[in-house]
Amino acid sequence: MKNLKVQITIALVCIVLGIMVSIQFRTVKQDVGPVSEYRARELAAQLKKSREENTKLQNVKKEYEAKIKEFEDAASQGSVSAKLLKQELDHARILAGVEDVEGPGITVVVDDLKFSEKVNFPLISYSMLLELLNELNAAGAEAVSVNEQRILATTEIRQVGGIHININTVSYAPPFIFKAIGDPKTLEAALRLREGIVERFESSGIAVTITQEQLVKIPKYNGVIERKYAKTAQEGEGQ
Amino acid sequence: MNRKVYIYYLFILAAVIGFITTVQFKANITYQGIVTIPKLLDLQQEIANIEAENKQLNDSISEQALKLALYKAGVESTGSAFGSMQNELEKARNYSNYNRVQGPGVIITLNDSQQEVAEGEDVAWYLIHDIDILEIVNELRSAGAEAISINGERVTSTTSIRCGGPTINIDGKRHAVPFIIKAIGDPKALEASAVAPESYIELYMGYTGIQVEIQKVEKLIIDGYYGRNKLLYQRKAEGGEAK
Repeated sequence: MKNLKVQITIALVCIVLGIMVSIQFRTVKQDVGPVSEYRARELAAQLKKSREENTKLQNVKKEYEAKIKEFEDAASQGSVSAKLLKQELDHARILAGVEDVEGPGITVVVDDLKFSEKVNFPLISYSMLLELLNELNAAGAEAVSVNEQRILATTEIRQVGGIHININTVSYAPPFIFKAIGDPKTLEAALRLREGIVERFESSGIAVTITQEQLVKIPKYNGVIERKYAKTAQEGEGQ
Repeated sequence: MNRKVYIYYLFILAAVIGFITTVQFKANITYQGIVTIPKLLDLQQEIANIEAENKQLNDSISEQALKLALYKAGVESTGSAFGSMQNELEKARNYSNYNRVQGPGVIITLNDSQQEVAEGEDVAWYLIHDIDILEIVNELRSAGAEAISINGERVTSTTSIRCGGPTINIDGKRHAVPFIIKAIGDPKALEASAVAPESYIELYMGYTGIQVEIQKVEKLIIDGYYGRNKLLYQRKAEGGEAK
């Protein structure tokens, strides 16, 4: 009789332990899946290497830019025409988006508040960003960047797998930070129109924060603008 | 005697289970701390992004090296970089979309549907809207279009395409159907982007009979931008990093 009691107790303890152990194994399996710690280390090392290369390249680029500026400054000191030429060159570069610019404007942060990370469903789609950019342009924005990528005439905004959106072929996940130079009041008012874009964003659960600023700095495009097909047309050639 | 052996067995069993559980828990802590699948994917994404940026930087550096070499050559042969700067201006003007360009490309002509509106359907589905043109332009950009115009309006980085009732305002100027989108770039790639099975045109514009005509052209001329002054608020950032 006494023996039976002990045996039942042991059986119960074993069952509880067994359940605990199996739950434990299952959780570990779910979280890690097929990846190994080794792979993560490898990736971390690769990331570090890429970052180092990035800093190095940026420094090289700055060096070149400084040298080119030296040449241009020296040349523009020579004559009035050279000075005018330099001015025009600066203007053309600003308009092309290959020069850092600053001025009054607004910052717009579009965030899904981690929703898509948990559900893996894109709350913010590329077409929403496309429309927001369009609204900014309609309100008179002169220069716009998204997450520090300068928007050019050739910039695409595309959905690529899940929540990621490509801008200038670099992919970004929320939050998206728009910076625009223009009249801050007009820009904000245009976005905040009744039943305008901000209201539409907010009604689908996206948080929009707009800040008017005295000085917004927008970086230049870091890549090369391709002109393999579009060549300057000769003067006098009609349509 | 029987009882003693029994306790002995029990002790060994408890020790083994205790050992396994400890190992499992310890391993668990380190594993979960470092690797989870979302974390790993984030890492991969970040690496891909930096690599893409590095590629941009590399291209840009070689472009600048070439520019510098031209400047140097200019200074050596003529005493100043003036001539090279003129070439540079030409290029920058092309980049800024202010000059007329030519090259191969495609012409996409869009017109409202002539089909009769089916019962229960909205006539809006049979018309072309601002968003349609916005999406098509975006797809052309993805396909590598270098210069785009809509009904003669050059598309720049700040072009707006908005509904204006019966018309569509492009950069504030009214335009009506037909919409003629011209794009310079690789004609094959541009055409493919427009007729691909998952393209915007195929997905959203086909079934109500909106008329879409795509034509590859050997030589296309697109006028420069002549819209608003875009240097009222922005100026060149002097020194310092744009951050």
